[in-house]
Amino acid sequence: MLESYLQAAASQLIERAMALKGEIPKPPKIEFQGLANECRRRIDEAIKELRAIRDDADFKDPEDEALRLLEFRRVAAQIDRVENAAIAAMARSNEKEAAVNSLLYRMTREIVYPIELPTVSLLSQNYFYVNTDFQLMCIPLMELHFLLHLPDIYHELAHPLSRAEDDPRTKTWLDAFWRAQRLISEHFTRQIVAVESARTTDTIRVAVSSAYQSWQCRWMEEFFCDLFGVFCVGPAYAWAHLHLHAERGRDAFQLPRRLSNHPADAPRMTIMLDALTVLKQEKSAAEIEQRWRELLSIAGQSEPADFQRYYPKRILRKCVDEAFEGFTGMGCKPWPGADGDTVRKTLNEAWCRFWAAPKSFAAWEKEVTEALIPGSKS
Amino acid sequence: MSSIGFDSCFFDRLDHFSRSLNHVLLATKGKAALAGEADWRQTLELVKTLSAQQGRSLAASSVAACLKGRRGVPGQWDVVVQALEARNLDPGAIKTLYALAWSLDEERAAVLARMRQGHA
Repeated sequence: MLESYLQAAASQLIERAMALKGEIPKPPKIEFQGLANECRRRIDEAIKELRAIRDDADFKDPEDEALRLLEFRRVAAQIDRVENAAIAAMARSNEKEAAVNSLLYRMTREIVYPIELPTVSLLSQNYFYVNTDFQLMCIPLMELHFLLHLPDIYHELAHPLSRAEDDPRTKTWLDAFWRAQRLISEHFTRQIVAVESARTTDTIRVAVSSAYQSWQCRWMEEFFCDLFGVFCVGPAYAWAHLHLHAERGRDAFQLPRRLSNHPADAPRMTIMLDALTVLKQEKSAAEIEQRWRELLSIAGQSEPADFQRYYPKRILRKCVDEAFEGFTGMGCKPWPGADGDTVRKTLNEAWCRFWAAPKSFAAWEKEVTEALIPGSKS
Repeated sequence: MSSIGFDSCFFDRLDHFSRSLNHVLLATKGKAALAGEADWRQTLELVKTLSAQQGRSLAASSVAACLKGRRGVPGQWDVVVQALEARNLDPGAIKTLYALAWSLDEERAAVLARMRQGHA
């Protein structure tokens, strides 16, 4: 069965992969040149692998069928990624991408970003994210006309740092990550012993286990990306978090029930406020905290009794200190930065204006955005 | 920060280990040329992390954590670590690694599906 299937399916996939090359814009825009080269390289590699899977005698031993199928599925997934993540971004790009990539360049110069920059696409239909396999950051089409969510770009800039293992440029950051991860592991080891040796409900046992798994798999990295964001752009990052939660957040104190991608919004805000105190921005931290509490109160959200079992405040604070050591150790420049910084200063000024003069904010934002991101209007 | 945010990073990691493991398994079938030094090293890194030997790779650590619940019987990974270090995989180790290869494949398929749907 598999032999016949792969003769047809692998051949079809090869055709698809070859046709994909034709979808790469001719010539690629300057900001997509690296991405286009990477796509072409991956397509060539995938075609070579598909031909081997289909034709090589090495793969035709009936005992190797499972492996042959696994390899076919892996290469098919690769082609899917090239098509849907990378080539789609290039094929649907417009003139505004040059503007947003220029903005990213200026942002990273201000903070002395330690590794190669991702490319930015305006393809996202789902807020901000970064495809680390292509070093491609995706942001929503209209976002570069507005300022309030742009601090989240700094969060996305932190994800590729986690990919740069065995790299002296990111060593202090990743060392800090591991020190923080160890603190969490110790905490959950104690928690697991405690719930196993006491009369505890299955719900709590499952929640502790899910929280530990989520911390190990994803949450610590997300917290570190948040901290990178605060260290880069200061109060504007925490304000953007409040804004995102107000617009589309779920319960800020959501309890863990299964493996989840992101920690709850309230402990994320907790570490952001702690990070602001590390940056000596106590006044801003107090103002943000007050507005945050008001927002939670309006939404009727409050901290459950055992919330700290999953998000221990004392350890979160230590994570902040570790991350700051890692951040400065990479040579990155924390907020408030230097006099010449324009991007991060503008993003903070936006939030000051937002609260100080809400009625006139939109007009001010329009004018300032056009000056900050020339070409965003075209 | 989006709901698909982490998956877009995570696919990369799953693919990285899946590719290496498949190549190592191909090497055990007499296709040694298909597995490079990096494939053996990366597979060993993941298996060491699964065996709770405290690997120092963020990628391996997060992938191992996501496979929790599919890890099999305690202690089975220690044997596989030894076999990979010696580059001498017996049928038991190969069977365990096949199960791991399918787990990575399943996780990758799930991540791809979530990204296509735009939510996690």
